[in-house]
Amino acid sequence: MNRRRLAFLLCAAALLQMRGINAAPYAYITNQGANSVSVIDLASDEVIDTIAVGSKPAGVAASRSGDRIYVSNPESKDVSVIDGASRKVIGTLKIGEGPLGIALHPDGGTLYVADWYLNFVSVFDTTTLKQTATIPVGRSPSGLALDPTGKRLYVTNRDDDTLSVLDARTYAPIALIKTGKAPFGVTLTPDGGRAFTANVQSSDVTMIDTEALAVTDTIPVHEFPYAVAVDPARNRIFVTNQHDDSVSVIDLGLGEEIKRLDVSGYPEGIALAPDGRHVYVANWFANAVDVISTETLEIVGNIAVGEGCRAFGEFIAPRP
Amino acid sequence: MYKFFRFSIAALLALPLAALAHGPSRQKAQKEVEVNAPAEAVWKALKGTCSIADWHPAVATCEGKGEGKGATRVLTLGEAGSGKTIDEEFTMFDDEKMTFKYKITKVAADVLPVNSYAAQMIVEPDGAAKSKVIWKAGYYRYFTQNDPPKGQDEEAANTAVNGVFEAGLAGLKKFIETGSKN
Repeated sequence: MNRRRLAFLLCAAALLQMRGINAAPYAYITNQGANSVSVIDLASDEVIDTIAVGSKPAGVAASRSGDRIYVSNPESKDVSVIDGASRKVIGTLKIGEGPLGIALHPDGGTLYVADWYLNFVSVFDTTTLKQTATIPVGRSPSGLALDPTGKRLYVTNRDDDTLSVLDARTYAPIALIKTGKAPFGVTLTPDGGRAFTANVQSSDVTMIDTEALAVTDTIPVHEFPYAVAVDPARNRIFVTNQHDDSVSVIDLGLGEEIKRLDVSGYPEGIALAPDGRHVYVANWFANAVDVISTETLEIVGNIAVGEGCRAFGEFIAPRP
Repeated sequence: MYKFFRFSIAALLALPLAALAHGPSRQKAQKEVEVNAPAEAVWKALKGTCSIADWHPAVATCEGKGEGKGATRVLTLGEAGSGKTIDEEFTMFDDEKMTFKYKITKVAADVLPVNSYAAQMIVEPDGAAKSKVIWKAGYYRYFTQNDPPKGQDEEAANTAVNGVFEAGLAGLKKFIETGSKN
C-alpha cells in the first residue's frame, strides 16, 4: 500500500468516525408537569433544547429518520407534531378524549394513537395530518407498537388484560392474547419475533411468540412495571418498575432477573440507544433521565430534564 | 377599545376551555422535616407497622398485621370507630437504609380522595444529633374517568395529601422531641 492510499484511508476513517459522532441520536423526553419536551443529545448526554407542546404530554413517537416527533397530550386531548430539524411544533392533531399511547409506522407515513377513554386507536396520515380511521380495541388501550416490517400493530388493553394484534394496514384483528394483569407498555424485539408487555398489577412481564401468537413465558419483576426495552445483542430486556424505583434486567435465556438496578425515582419510559451501549430511563418523580451501561449494568449518567418526565414510547431517533 | 375588545374575546374563549374537565394525570407530593434526634431514634419511632398512630394527629387507631415488607395496616382517622379507614400495605422495607414504601389498597373518596397511591418515608442522618425525614408519594386523583366531580379532582387530591404529610411530619417531630403526640 502506498503512502497516498494509506493517507486517504486514514482520512476516510477519520471522516467516518466524525460522521459517527455527528450522527449521535437525540432523545425526546416528554415532561408531563412542564408541558414540554426536553431534547437530549446522546453524544454529550446534555439537554440542548426544550420544546413547548400541548397540555400534560406523556407519549412520544419519533420517526426512524428523526424528521418528525409526535407527542400525545392527554389534557389538551391532542398530539403535537414536532419538526425534528427546526425543533418547532408545526401542527396539532385533535384526538378524542384521552390520547396516550402513540406509535409510528416504520415508513413514517401513518401515526397510531390510542384513546384511553374511547377504547379505540386513531389512525392519521402524517402527510395530510388528517384522521383516516379509528380502530376499535379493548378497554383502556395504552401501549402501542408496530412490528419492524410494518405489517402488524400491537395494542395493550390495560383493563382487559389483553394484547390486541391487528393488521397495521387493514386493521383486521389477527389475535387477542391474554397477558398478565393490566398490561401497559408493549415492546417488540428488532426482528419482530417476540413481544413483551409490562403488566402493572401482576408485577410481571408477558413474553409472546409473535409467529405462534402465544404466550411463551411470564417473568416476575417488581411493583408496577411500566415499560420494556430490548437489548438484542445480549438477549436481555430492561423493565421499569415504577413503585420499586428500579429497573429489572432480565436474561431471556434464563427467563429471570439477573440484576435489579436502583434508579432515580419512579422510572417510566425506557429505550436502548441505537449503538446498543446505553439504555435511557425517564424518572417521573426525580425529573431526570438515568443512563445505564448495557455492558456493566451500572448507572453511568443522570440528566436533569423537566417536571414529571415520562417518555412513554419510542423516544430516541437519529438527529435529523 | 380594540385592545379591550380583543382581550374580552380571548377571555371568553379561554373560559369554557378552562372549565372543560380533562383526564387524570399522575400527581406527586414531597415534604420533609428536620428532627432534633439521631436518625436511629427517628427510624425506631417510624418503622413499626402501626407506629404512625403514635405520632400522626389525624390517625386515631391502627390495626396492623405483620412487620416489614408485606405487612398491612388499617388506619382509622378522626376518632376511633369513625369508619373513616385507609387500608395500606408495606411494599418495601429496608432497615439498613432506614426507609420503607407503602401503598393504599382501599380508601373512600371522603377519607382521602386519591387513587393508585404509593408512598415512601426515608430517614437521613444530618450529623450525629439531627436527622431529616422525607415523605413522598405519587398518586392520581380519586376520579379516574374524565370530568371529575368536585372533591375528586387533582386539587382535592393534592390538598389532602399535602395536608396529611405536613400534619404528620409536624406530629412526628413533636412526638420524638417531646415524647407526646398532642
